[in-house]
Amino acid sequence: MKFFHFTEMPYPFVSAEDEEDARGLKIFLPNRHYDPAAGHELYRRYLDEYELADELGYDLMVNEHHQSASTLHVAATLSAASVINRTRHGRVLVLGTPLPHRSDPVRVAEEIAYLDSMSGGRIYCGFVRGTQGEVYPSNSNPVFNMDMFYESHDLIRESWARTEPFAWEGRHFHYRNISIWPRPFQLPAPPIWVSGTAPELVQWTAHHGYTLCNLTGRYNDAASTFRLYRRTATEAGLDEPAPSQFAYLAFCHVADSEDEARRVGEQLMWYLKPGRPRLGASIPPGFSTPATSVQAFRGRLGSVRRQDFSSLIDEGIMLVGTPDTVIRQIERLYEVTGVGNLILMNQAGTMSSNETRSSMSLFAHEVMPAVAQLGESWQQDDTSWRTQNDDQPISAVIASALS
Amino acid sequence: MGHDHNDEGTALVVLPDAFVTEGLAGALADVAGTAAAHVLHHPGRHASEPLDFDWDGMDDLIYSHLATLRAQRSGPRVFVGAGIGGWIGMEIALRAPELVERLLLVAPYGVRFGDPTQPNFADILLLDTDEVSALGWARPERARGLHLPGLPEDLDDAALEDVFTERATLAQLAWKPFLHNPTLGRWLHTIDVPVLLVRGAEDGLVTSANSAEIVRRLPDARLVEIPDAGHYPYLEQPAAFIQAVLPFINHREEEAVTR
Repeated sequence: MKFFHFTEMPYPFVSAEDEEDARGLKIFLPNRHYDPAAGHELYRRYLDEYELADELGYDLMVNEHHQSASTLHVAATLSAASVINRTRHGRVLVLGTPLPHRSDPVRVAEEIAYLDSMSGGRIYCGFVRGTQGEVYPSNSNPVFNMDMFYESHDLIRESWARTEPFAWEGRHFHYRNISIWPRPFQLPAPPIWVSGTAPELVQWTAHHGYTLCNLTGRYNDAASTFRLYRRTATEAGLDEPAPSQFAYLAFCHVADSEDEARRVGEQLMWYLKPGRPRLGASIPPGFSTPATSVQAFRGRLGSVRRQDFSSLIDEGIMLVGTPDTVIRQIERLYEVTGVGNLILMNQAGTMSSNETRSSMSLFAHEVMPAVAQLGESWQQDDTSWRTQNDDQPISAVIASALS
Repeated sequence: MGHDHNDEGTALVVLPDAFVTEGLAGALADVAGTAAAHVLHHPGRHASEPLDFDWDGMDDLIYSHLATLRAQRSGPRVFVGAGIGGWIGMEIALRAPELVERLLLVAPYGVRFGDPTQPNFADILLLDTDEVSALGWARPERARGLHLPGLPEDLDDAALEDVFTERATLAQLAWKPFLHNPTLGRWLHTIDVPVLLVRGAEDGLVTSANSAEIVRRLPDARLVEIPDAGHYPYLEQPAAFIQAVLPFINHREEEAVTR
């Protein structure tokens, strides 16, 4: 099992009153609440933590959101460039570039190729469709979100694969001449990761053999999504997918005592504050099917955000406790899902750098060695998620547990 | 609805606003004695019949409507368009003036003016339903004749799926530029049929400045405001609405002025 350090680089200095006035921290929060000097210090601090993570043996993940105090990553590729420059060993997972929200896919192809070339092939390239609220910062039409995702992906892959200039006249993107410099260091393409739970997207990811990531879903939902991937791959005649083709993002805080881990770790709940986004930001028109939109409107989605801290620990969505506790949680995660990559949100909200560093170090020294071997000999395991043992119907996960 | 001519009156083509269930056709029922209405709904209002995914925007809808209208082989008719339907009405008048005798617009979307930082329209695809109601009605408690998420409160899942389908349709047609066509705005001065633009005085979905500028740019247009009404004067003040539009529809404007 591999472990990635991740922070969304939150800006935690917005008052509760201002947050309430804006109905949350995302998209519609006035930026008069942003202090440039405080922001500068935060960036330095978060990059210092990435540097420490690299020294401790973690791989590293960056992402992007827009117009939000919950995330100061404004472009995953920009953050990756910063992290690459501060680190030497770890893989840098760019998860991900929200393809429907980037109007120039060729530029994305160039940026990823630059990162991969500059880092000597340390890049994992993540592509995402973007969360619901992202349609407002980019103003990209939510009806065509998936269509743009697919076309952008195809164009980027073509840009990396071709060695002679070519044209692209698609539905959403139009170019007369494409011949990118540099080419990726890892040819034909850096390893590609995709996050999502929509069945269509999961199946598409399986057909391409890309790594599928579930972000803080319930274990059963993650397991169900991964089963759909495994079944799709094997039915398509591909090899049975290894745990390395799956990733799961969990919150994490370890400490020497349960009480201390819970006391400090509870700050991770900051990330799950649901806010009260307006209808169109939580259910953009055409972003999901009408049936899924109705489910969301009826409040049947996003239940993780409504759970309390203790129940999230019990379910393992919060990996919080002593090293022994967290080792057991991760063993259960692997047993249920067969996941081989664990992305750890080691910091959220007001959690201080010392608190974050303390947990990261303890995890690296006591947890990582105990669970690193999980998935190494998966073909000898007789686990419930092996394709040969999978005889249950797959229940569709209708949307991200968070969104 | 359903037939185009009535010997006793003017034939109307009615272009309803989005999310309106009874809409103009309901309000114009009073006019049925003098005018028969052909209601031209936009497609993509039902989950079982979503909009053709190949359509990129409003152009596709306009060409579809023009094909329908031309197939009817009717002479010029009076077009009545509200909100999104008003936008469609202006597009048809611009592109097929031979089909349009005169044009009644009710708080149309479709063109925008002025400073790019000043919205001309409320973001009806973003706002919560109670916010849309507060902006769209002089008194929101009168809200009726619409299907929005949560309005009415007892919509079942099937009806709600239709509502979300229609929201997707509107986004597919008019997400960017939002609810308007810059080309239409540039050519308003060539729409030379008589136009009456009616707006509710309390309409918070389309600005009064926007409606006034449309009237200013059209060569033969007049503006009427209905008091104590919002974006849906035909639902909120149907009697006053009918009184305001009937002379125009029936070509008896002089009579209305002298009365």
